[in-house]
Amino acid sequence: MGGGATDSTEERRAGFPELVEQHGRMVFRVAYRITGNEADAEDVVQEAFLKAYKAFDRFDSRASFSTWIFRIAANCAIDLLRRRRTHPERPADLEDPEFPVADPGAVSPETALASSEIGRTLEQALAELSPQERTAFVLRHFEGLPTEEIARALGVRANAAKQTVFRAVRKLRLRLAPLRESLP
Amino acid sequence: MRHLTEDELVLHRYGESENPSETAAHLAACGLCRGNLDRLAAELGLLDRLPVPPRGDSYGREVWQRVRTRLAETGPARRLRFAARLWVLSGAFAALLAAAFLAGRFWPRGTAPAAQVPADARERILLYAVADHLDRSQIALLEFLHSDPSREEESDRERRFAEELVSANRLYRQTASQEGQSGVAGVLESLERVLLEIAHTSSPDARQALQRRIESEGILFKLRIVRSELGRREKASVPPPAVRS
Repeated sequence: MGGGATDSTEERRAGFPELVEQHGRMVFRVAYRITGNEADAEDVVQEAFLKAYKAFDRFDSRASFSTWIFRIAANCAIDLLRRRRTHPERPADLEDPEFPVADPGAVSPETALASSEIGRTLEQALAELSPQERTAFVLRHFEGLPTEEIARALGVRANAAKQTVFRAVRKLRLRLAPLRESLP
Repeated sequence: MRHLTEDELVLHRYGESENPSETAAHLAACGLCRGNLDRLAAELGLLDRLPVPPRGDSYGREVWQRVRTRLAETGPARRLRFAARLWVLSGAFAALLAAAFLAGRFWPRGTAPAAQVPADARERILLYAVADHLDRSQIALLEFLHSDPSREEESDRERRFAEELVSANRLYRQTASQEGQSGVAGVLESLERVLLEIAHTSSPDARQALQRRIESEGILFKLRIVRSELGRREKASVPPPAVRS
């Protein structure tokens, strides 16, 4: 019966807040790595969970929620990066003179690095990748996803995903090799 | 001796080497390739130094609160909330109501004409409804592209979902045409053809061929572009939100 199916969807949705609690930080981390911008990452997180909620009836409960939400978040991030490139409405953090630390009193070694020229170069290297390349690389390098999963997230065949990662690595190395040589 | 290519080193670095034992043996014997691998690892390793802004334990709860608020307060969607609930009950019927509302045909003729809803508000409602529809369609296409055509149960589920989306799609397309949104109507027309094919293609071979065609024509990509554009227009058509905290 239709009513039964609806009840079941509603029952399943009752568990959704818990899934957001469990996966929120992970989705933020991925979104931030892909967008390179805290505010954009927050937009992606919100958009991804909103879409996931709306499409929750399509989620196969036997599958992994993290894989599913990864896929949705990656697509939201790609969309946002494409939008940014076509219609830049918020300056990237890179262009912000305070990048990326707001509180100069609380500077850890990591944030000190990010504030430095090295941090800028690293961010710039990632920013020069296409949205698809950046997403594929982030999922591969930082999140350790296998090629098959990256392909699912990007909506492409496995071989195309693999080639995208190769391209990203080649571009990154061109920027990073001189930096590595200059470091002690 | 053939040395390892950069791509082979990348695969090895990420544990996806096609011939792991051969690659390992070559690396053990070849100083040049070992040096190349070390350089690759060192260069990519630089990126690990980039920090991610921390988020506290309560972050997930905060996100859910924001999502919940947005679900309840999506401006133009308020008028569609009733229709959205019905959508859950029966997608096509609810879409019919939404589309009828958008076209100003919700009320009996002569009692509350379309003129009561200003044109810009109608456009906003249409944008929101179509954007939502495109989100669902994107997910349906993504799942179709990655499904195993030989699994009958999976194919049945996808066909049913595509059928639901076709009904809704048709109504939105007609409404978009009536509202003079020819660009949106054109995209919905292309989408309808694909959804119809998904809904009516049952043999595994035909479904596989359809998967290939959708990929080669970049239909999902085009859909994403249009969805992004709608999102931008949606944002441009509503007052700016409160300052982000």
